[in-house]
Amino acid sequence: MSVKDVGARQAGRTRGSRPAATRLRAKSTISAYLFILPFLILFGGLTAYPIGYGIYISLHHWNPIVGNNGWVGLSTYAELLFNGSSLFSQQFWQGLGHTVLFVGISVPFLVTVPLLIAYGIYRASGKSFFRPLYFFPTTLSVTAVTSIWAWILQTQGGAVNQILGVHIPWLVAEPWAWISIDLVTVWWTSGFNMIILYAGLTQLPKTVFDAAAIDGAGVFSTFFSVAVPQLKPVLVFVGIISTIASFNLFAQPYLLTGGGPGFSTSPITMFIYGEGFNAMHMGTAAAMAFLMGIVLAAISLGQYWFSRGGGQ
Amino acid sequence: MRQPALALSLLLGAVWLAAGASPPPARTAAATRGAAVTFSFWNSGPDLSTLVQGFNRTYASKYAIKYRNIPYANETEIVNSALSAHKGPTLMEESLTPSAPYAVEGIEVPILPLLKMAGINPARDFPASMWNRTTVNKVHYVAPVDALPTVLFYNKALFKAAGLNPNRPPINQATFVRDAQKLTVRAKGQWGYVQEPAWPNPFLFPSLLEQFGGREANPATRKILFASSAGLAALNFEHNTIFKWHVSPVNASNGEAHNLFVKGKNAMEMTGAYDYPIFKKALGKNLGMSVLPVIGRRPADFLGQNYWWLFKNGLTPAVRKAVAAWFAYYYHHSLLLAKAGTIPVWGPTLKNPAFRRIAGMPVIAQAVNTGVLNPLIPNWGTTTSTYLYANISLVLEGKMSVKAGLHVAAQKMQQEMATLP
Repeated sequence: MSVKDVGARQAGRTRGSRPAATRLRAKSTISAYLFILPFLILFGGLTAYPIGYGIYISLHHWNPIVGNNGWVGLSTYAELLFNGSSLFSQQFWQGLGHTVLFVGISVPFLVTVPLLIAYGIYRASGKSFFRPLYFFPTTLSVTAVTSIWAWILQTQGGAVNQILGVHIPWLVAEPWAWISIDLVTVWWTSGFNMIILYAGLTQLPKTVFDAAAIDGAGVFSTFFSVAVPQLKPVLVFVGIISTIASFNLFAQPYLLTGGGPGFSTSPITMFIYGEGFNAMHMGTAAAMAFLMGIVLAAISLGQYWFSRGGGQ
Repeated sequence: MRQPALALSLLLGAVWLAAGASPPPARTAAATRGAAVTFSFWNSGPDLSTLVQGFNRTYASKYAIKYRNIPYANETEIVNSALSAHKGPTLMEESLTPSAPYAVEGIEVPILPLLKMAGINPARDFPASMWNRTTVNKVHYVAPVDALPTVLFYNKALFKAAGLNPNRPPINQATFVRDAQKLTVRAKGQWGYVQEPAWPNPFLFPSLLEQFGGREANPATRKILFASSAGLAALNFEHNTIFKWHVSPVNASNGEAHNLFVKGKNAMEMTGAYDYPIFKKALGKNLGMSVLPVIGRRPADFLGQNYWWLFKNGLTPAVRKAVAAWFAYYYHHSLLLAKAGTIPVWGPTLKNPAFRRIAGMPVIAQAVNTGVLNPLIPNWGTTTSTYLYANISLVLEGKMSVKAGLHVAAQKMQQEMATLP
């Protein structure tokens, strides 16, 4: 067998195996695409298409029962943003203001209260008792939660006023109505954030806590100087999801205060809902929703940017 | 080979989900028989499933109803979503004003021909209060199903304890205030009357407004009319119960009037007759009920109500006959429903001695005769709750003057009228 023959045979083997490898790669690629295709179909059908269709609706006069009533372009957006004498614009800014107010008064509590609970459980014994206990309210439906609290917070004869011996109009006057909504939201949803923060605490190296203890750090100094800095990424995550959840506030004021007194606890989602499904101005409702989405995206990006060091 | 197969099954699953996975609808007994003319009927009032079953049995091979009881709290949203997906019902029952936008948009049919097919003469067979003022562009698209008038509930035991005659509830403003003052015992946490800033104003304010000779709005011109001297008098009365006569607590939260009444801490409540069964259960023989006292110049009370109407969708001549048969069946069985607590609007039932023997019903029937309805204007419920009732809440919390509350609400609502279909 000459060298030439061997070379030819090797070349043939190489030539023969190349199509096989290509076939394998192609098969693998097809499999990969097939695996992501279910997500793409669901994403396309349940997210991308509705968003696109929502934008289309927001550019039209749209009555939900008869559909398209004519092209209006960006005039709805312009009306909402710049025409202060329009009822829609007044509702939009009023609702957005109330929503931002709620985010402002709820997110700090939705981060700090669960953090304190998570740290307390982490340091204390009886973890398997306290974890489900504090998580329990999260498992309740918003209807159940608001029904219970509406009863507890009644002005005449409500449990809170009876126990405190006061006559506070928790649900019918400001600032009490917002305080009540905030209180109920924190009570209802803190358990979820607590579990995330607790999981974060369990992932921190125990040696750091041991070292702090050897250095004589107490519970509070360990909390502020060790636990909180180490938990920063988790705290940012909890802050972002709490902001998004708070921006979507709807059911608590809807069921507790009916958006009142007056409009004072009506978040933007309540106006969007009313305009879309009751007043049948679906185009206006869609435009309000997209503007709210843009504000929310900007806030979330800002939070993320700060968490990454604020551009430093 | 396993990977592509797994991926393919995931893919098929996703397509199934994205396409709106739902099992095929259960076929009704009537549908399986094939011959019956079937139509869909949705309602948000009292559950009519027993009566519908009776109808389906009676007309077993001829007609059948596919019935769905939808929640009252978000009925409009459910129906509008279904209509926008072209999956709405043929026959719909809701309160009155939600029917207006469908009539204006031209997707309802006039109802008189169907009532005639059912042998019903509305002018003769329905109370005038439930039939008049229910047209859109002078056409009747709706027919009444049941009524829920605003009445006065009172606690006979508290009346007796206050030295009042438990069988003589107040009949006018002067006697109402006098009785409420006698019934208010602050040391015991007992109130003569509880005026909530929010509910039941959608029942009470229109009642008082009409009593003082006013109207909420003119549906033909869509002019808002409640910011009138009658409106001021009506709201002033409510305001005075809290801030002048002190017979009602300040800042009562939602549901308190009801809760305190059930607990025997509220002697009188003016609200919809829908509370009768609960109050009866709580107070038993001590529950008193009468028509509203004449706080203004003439008797009037707001009528909560349910009406039905027909969408054009799928309304073939055969379906029309089936619907007419159902109308006749329903009204002729309204005595049975009255015994179960639904207040009838069918003349022969209202005059039936058996009906008048049902506890509470004579008072309610009397209240139906002096009843008034909301103006048949699209989105009236939403618009009033957004502006009028929000402002009334502020007025009754002492945050706004009576005059400003009504005028600002009227101005906003007039602006809103321009955006309606």
